[in-house]
Parts: sequence; structure tokens; C-alpha cells
Amino acid sequence: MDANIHRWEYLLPGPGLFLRGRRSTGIWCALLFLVPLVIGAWRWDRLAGVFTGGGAPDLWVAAGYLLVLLQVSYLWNYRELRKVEAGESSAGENEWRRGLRHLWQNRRARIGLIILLVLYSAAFLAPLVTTFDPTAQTDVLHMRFLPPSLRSGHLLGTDGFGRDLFSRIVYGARISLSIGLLAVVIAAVIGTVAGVLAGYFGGWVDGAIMRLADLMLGFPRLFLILVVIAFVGPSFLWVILVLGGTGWMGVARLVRAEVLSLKEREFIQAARALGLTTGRIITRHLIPNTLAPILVFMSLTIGNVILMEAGLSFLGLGVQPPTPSWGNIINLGRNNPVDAWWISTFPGVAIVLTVLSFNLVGDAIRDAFDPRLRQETPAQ
Amino acid sequence: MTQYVAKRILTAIPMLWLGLTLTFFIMHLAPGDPTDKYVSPNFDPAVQQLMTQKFGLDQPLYVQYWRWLSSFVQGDFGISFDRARPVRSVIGPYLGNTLILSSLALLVSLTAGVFLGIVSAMHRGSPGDDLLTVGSIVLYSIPGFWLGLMLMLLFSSLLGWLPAGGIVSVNHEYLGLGQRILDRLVHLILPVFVLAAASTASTMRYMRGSMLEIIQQDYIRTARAKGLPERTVILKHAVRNALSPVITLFGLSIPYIFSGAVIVEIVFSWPGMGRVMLTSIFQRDYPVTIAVTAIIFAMVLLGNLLADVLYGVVDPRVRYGAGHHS
Repeated sequence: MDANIHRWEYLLPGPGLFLRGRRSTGIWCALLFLVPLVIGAWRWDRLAGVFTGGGAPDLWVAAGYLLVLLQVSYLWNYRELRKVEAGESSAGENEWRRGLRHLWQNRRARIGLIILLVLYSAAFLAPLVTTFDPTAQTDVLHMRFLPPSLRSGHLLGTDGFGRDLFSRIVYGARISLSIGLLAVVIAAVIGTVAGVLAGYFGGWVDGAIMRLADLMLGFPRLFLILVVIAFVGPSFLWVILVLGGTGWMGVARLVRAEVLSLKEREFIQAARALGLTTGRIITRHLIPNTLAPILVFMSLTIGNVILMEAGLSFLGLGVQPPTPSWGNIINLGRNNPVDAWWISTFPGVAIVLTVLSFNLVGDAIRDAFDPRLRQETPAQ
Repeated sequence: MTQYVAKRILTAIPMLWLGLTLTFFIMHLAPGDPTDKYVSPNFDPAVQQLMTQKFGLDQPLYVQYWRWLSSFVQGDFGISFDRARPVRSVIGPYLGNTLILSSLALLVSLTAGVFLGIVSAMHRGSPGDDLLTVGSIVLYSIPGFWLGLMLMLLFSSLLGWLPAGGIVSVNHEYLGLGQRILDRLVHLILPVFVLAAASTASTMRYMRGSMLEIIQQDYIRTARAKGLPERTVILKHAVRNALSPVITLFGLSIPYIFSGAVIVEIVFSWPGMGRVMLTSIFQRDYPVTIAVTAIIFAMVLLGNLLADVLYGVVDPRVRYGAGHHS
């Protein structure tokens, strides 16, 4: 513990940094600490279920997420305080940390990251931030098509079954955000394996894999997905698998190109000369060096994958009602486009915000991890 | 050139065959059966058996595959299970509608994207450039179906300026020739705009990047130094060279336009192939599904070929055929 840092500064993240001149960091750190506390206090009635043993699994997840947020704010506070006291500069930081710093210095990326944090938090904390059950149908005759209002408690109105739209959108975030992330991860894994195999072994393996990639790139992706989903039946798992299985070609190309050039470098030659097994060379030396382009690719494509998932749900080929997803809520709203405009409008706004944030962050990640671009555009 | 095109078409055929074969087997091996709808208390159980025989579904799969393939290469798409008419006449009327919609959207997105990209690159760093850049990111973050719904709500339901969907008005038959054309055009505005929106945004970004790269080249400085007016430098020297990567993008965006068309057709009740395809998939109408797939695959392959040929027109350095000096 540093002598110059007061004890209360450890206990309450934020103000200490603020007073030492790190204003914006202090405010964000304090917010990250206070918001989970406020939510926890406000919804204590539900949160208490965790201790009495009556909590549903997603309540446990929400409680855990709150704790993680608190923990992160403490750690962040501690690190920054230490840095201020020790007068640490950015010298000697590694490539990843430098990339992250550039990312945070980009205004657009910062906005995107904050929106994403809010959206993911809403998805994790769904049982705590909503006041209505997303699937509960109460007095349908009196409760349906209520316009958005603060007084009724239905912030964004209700749908044709009298279900609260705000709750449905918050719970729907779980579907869109998790499908987007998982599908992109699957695509990246398949693409990396295919790219490494093609690049490292060459010959007919290379030929077969890259021909398949060309073939799949040439066909309309959504169309391919439609055909498969329509025939195997719509479900959470299939949507993820199909979205992932049709998105690997770009990663495969990137990784292959990277491996082809890495293969000729001295450290790989040395690894081979030392008699390392092929598996070890690939997993320890090749794949870690291709991670940056893979990350860039993932961040640039996740927005598109979320759009496709929404499109599938909209056509009735995604997650099935009554489980809410943004696409299927919009589809339901088409029945009353004029007198209940809010049903289709708000989930669409949620989609646009999500995809926009991912695209802003994705563009910035590409700039941050590509040193050539970094010099051209000075940090804003 | 002719030799090159012929070679490309020949290499496209195995691709088409592989794609269709995959579709054929996914379709037949997936759960669900075209005769499922005959399983109901209203039908004698024998009906389902009869229909299965009639459609040839009682044969082993390889026999069905061979039958389909041999009639397909002779240009016979078979008979629709669902509508009991030749597939050709089921698809025919809708093909034109989809082609009009997609080709107009491609044209709009290419011209608007290239134009905005040039404007944006010429005023790099200005508020206008910032606005266009942010606008393009926003534009390709909007789901097409939602954009369509919102524009419909605004322009048809609230303002009443544009029709809410369909291809012609109810009273189309009673209009004069001029009004008929106008009627069709008015129905095209929203679907084309929605379909073109996302690819306009990406074309614009490519064009901007490509222009920025080109205007740093030495020959542009030379052109300026010898006193050519800025207009000539940009239009004659820079744009033409900046176009070549955009042309490649144009080829790659054709699949996206066709995918987007499926959803736009649903939103705007546009009688096109997308809707035919979706209904055929849900009805397990195998002959129609595979015929639509074949048409879309063929159009995509043709589009890519077109892009490659255009590439050669725009960039004289690219020479096809027996190239010795490449």
C-alpha cells in the first residue's frame, strides 16, 4: 500500500482520482462503482432471493455481474491511483495495452464501448432492471396496446398481448447479444483452424479448403442460412451454428496469409530445427501471432451477424415466440404499424444502437491494432 | 477477351453444380416432407402414399438426384409439388420483378456511393466529410427490414406521399400510359432506397478510401503541376483509377443485394423471387426451391464475371486472355 494514498480512497473508487486531476477517469470509476450499488439497493427485494435460496439462475448471474462490476471499479481505481503516485508513463507497455489505450482515446470508439457496456449490463441484469415479466400476460383486454408512459410503468408501452415492451426488449438483448458473440466466435475458430491447416500444410489441403471458401463466399450468405434454417428448423442452437458456419471464410483467408508469411520467419524455422512437434508449433507459435487480425475481423463482422440474426427472427426463422428477440418483436409489431407504432420502433432502435456501437468499436480496433493506420490518423 | 469470358463461364459450371448438389441433399435429408400436408383427418392415409409415389419421393435418393440432374441440364425444372404447374411458369412472373428491384438498387448504390465517396474525399476533414462518414456507419448499422417499416410508417401511413407496398396500385389497369409508368416508379422508390442503403454506405467508404490513396500519387501531383484544372485532375485522372477496387466490391455486393431483396420483398409485399423461395421452402416444394437457388446462384456468378470484365475496361493495365507480360 502506498503511503501517499489515503485509506478512504481505496474504499470509495473515483473521488481520489478526481481530486488528483484525473477527472474523467474519476467520474467513470465512481459511476462504475455507484450504479451497481444503486441497482442492488433498489431491487433488494429480488436480489435477496439469492440468499434465501429462492433465486432463479438468471438472478444468480445478475448478482454475480453486480459483484464483478464493483470489483472492476476497485481494481481500476487502485491501478490508476498507483499510476498517478508513481508517475508511471506509457513507456514499456506491450502491444495489446497500447492498442487498448489508442482505442479508448478514439471518441467514437469510446461512445460505442459505453453503449455496449450498458447493453450487455442490461442483458445480464435483466431481472433487476425490469419490473414486469417479459412473457406474463395479464388482463389482455385492458392492458394491450398501452402507449409508452411513465405513469402506467410501461416505459415503452405494451404489445398486443399486454406484455411490457421494455422488459421484452431487455430480455431480447440476451438473444441478440449472445447469438452475435457466439456465432462470431464459432466463425473465428473454424476460420482459424481452416486457415492454419491451409497455410501450414499447403498442397492439396490448401487447395481444397480455399476452393470451399471461394465457393461459399460466392453465394448469398443470408440465402444459404435461410435454406438451412428453414429445413432444419429454427432454434437458438441452429441459428448460432449456421451463422458461425457460414462466416468463417474471411478469417480463413486472413489467417492463411498470416501463416504463410510467419512460416518463413526465423523463429518458426528455429522451432522446427529444435524438433518441436507440428501441433506445438501451431498452437504455441503460429496461432498467438495471428490473434490481432482475428480480433479485428471479429469486431468488424459482429454487427453484421447481429443484423442477420434480427433478419432471421423477423422472418420467423430465429428464436421462437414467446421468447422475445428483437427481430420477432418487430415482426409482431407489423400487425399494427400505425396505432401501435412503438412495438416495431423501439426494438429497431435497440438493434441500430447495438450494431452501430459494434461498428464504431470495430473500426477503431482496426485502426488501433494496425500500426500503419495509427500513424496516419493521430488520436482525436 | 472472348476466350477469357468463355473460360470463366466453363469454370463457373462446376461451382454451380456443387452448390446445387449441396442444396439438393440438404433439402432431401432435412426433416419435413412435401406430403406432410396430406396427413390430416380430412384425407385418406392412402392419399399421402399416392402423392409420395407421384412426386417420386419413394425412390432411393440417388435415383431422385439423377432424375433431377438429368432433366435440369436439359432445361426442365420439373413440376411444382405445391401448385401442380411447371416450375418455369411458377417462377417466371416473379423473376422480372426481382431483377428490376435488384438491378435498380445496384445502380443507385453504385452511382450514389461513388459520387458521395468522391465528394467526401475531396473535402477530407471538413464537417461535411465527417457527416458523410458517420452517416454511412449509421446507414449500414440499420436493419433493412426495420428501415423499410419505419419509412413506410412515415411516408405512407403518416404523410400519405408514397404507397405502402406492392408493385402497382389497385386502379393500375384504369390509368393512362404515362400514369402507369409513374405509378410503377412511385412503388419502386421505397424498396429501392431500402435495398440500396447499406451497399451505398459501403461503396461510399471504399470510394473515399480509394480516392484518398490515389490523390497522394505522384502522377496526380504532376497533373496539377502542369496546370490542369482541378476538375480535370479529379475526374479524368483520379476517379478512373480509384474506381477499380470499387468495381471489385460491386461484384462482391451482388450476393448481398439478392439476400437483401428477400427481406425487402417481404416488407413491401413485392411479388418477387424472395417470397416464392420462402413459401417454397416452408411448403417443402423441392423443385421450386432448387430452381430459385439455381437462378440466384447463376445470377451471382454472372455478376462476378461482369465485375471482372468491367475491371478490365476501367483499368487498362488488366489484360485478359493470353497475357505474356503479366
